[in-house]
Amino acid sequence: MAASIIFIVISIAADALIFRGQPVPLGLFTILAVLVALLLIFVLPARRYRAWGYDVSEDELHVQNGIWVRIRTIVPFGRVQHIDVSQGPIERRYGVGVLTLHTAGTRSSAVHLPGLEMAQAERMRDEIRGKIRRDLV
Amino acid sequence: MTLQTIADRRLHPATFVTRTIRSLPQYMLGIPAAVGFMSDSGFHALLLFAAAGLAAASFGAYLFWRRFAYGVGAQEIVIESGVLHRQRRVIPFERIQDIDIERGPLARLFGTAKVRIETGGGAKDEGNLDSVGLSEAYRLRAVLRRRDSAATAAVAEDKYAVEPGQEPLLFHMDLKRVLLAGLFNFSLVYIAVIFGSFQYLEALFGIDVMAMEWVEPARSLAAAATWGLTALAILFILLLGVTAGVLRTIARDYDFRLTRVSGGLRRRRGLFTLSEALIPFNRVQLSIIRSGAVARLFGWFRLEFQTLSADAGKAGNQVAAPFGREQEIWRVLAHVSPEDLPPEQDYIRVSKRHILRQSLRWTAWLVLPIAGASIVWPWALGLLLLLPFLIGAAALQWRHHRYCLTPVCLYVRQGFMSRRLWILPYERIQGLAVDEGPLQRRLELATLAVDTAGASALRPLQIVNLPVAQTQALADKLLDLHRKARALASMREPLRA
Repeated sequence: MAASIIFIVISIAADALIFRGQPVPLGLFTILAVLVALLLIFVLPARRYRAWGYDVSEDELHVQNGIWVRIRTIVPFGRVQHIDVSQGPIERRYGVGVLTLHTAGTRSSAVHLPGLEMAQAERMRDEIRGKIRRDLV
Repeated sequence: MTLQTIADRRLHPATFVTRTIRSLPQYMLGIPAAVGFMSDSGFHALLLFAAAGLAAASFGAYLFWRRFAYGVGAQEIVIESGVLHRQRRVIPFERIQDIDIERGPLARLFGTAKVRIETGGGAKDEGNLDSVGLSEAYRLRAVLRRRDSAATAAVAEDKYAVEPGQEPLLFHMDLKRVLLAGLFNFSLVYIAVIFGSFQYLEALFGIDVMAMEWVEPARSLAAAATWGLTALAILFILLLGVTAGVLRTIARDYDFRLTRVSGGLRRRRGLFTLSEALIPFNRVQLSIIRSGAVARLFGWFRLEFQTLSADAGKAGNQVAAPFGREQEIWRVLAHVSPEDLPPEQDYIRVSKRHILRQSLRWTAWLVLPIAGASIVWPWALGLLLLLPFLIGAAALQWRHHRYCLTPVCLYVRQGFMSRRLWILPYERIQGLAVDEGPLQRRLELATLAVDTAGASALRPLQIVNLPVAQTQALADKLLDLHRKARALASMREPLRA
């Protein structure tokens, strides 16, 4: 959202300064920028939210996300090195958190599951912690 | 505990000399060259600057030596270093993967060695002792190995008892083999180095290579070049590349020896810098047998192990046998993997739609540049005739991409020019991912990526373009096999705290 606001401001400035007096209709870029911003702020987040999904099975956590490339990440509990529950400032306001599983792998070294209610995130964290078996990789 | 460990040992005094020598190029050549280049001060001033450079280099080396100390405590090793920015690094024993001992030519002269302490964390967690006396290096390694729980565990698990001093030689490269390997390691890097050094000559000694007497006739000769001369020039460059490759390979892999020790393999190699590394079995995540396009035609293969400490300085995998016959590779692999390679017919192919998808993707990548180029050069459109070749390449890729599940490992073959065979024991799986790109979704395909510790981000283990249902089933099967393998492993050894 911040990015799109900046983008709009820059477009308005560009419109006013550069394109004045050009055959391009005045305000074209501003309109385009506003349209893109509307898309980014209202349409896309809802789509992205629906694209996130998770499933806690007996031995693994499945996390699915992505619109363009759909990715389903599977982390066996026995492989989890440690778990974080974190909140940025905006997340803190709405009471949601991000559950992050860390493994020794490369691609799955940090598997995020955002948008969980804090209580649920902490419950999941404790549940998974109980299932971690500590031994050598 | 960590506060009590005193860093009470100094590096070997020869460190002062080796560091001075090593930093000479920048002090004595670089700076004077820059100064000489900028002002026509003449040779005497140049000498003065060189002498000042030497003094600066020695002083810097002395400060480094003075401010470096290390100590071995009860549970960790402590390294204190830094002249201006002091740093105290504590490395607990259980984090240590291994101790590498490296001996460059200077170190061989002075009887010292550089000790590298490897942890799983990468460069920021490593410890470097550059350099200690050779006997001290061996002593450190013995002490740290004895106290390292991971290494003792590896030795305990290993039923193969090896007498120290009688390590069986598993793989060896004599000079002939190393030279042959060098021939396959073509390298054009040094051409740039050679041409770059011409600039230095000019700055240092006032010699202008370009104004020399032979350049003008050569230039006019080149202007009147016929096909024959051009071919000769290309041949010359190729020869240079081959020579550079051979020299590099000799320097790195001279007298390559792979021996069996308790709990792992020990690898020694190098001509100027003798490097010694241990590959503990319990750190090996997976094995890769690779071969380049040309090398395979002659029957040469390369065996690598992906280990836990994916050290950025070593480019990921540990090489166990850089250039060997298939039989030799298998002989080494038998110590790591308990079973034989499955026969060819057991492998399962991926979907034939792989050909379609890859062709479409490559075409998409090429169409735009070709269209853009054809605006300027209309004949670029002729490049579109390459399309059948793309389809052929995709078909070859499909033919050579297959996988196989045995009771112990997952085998994946990939690539038709430069080929890879991945061998992954199920218990080493760290995570799985099923990816579906937009085109894949339309074609009902998916890619299964298997994540392991220390994997390369550029070349991960992937089974590309399987039918979606088969991908899900394979993922579930792998998880099941992984669980069973881990259960079996934890029954064999008691859980560690």
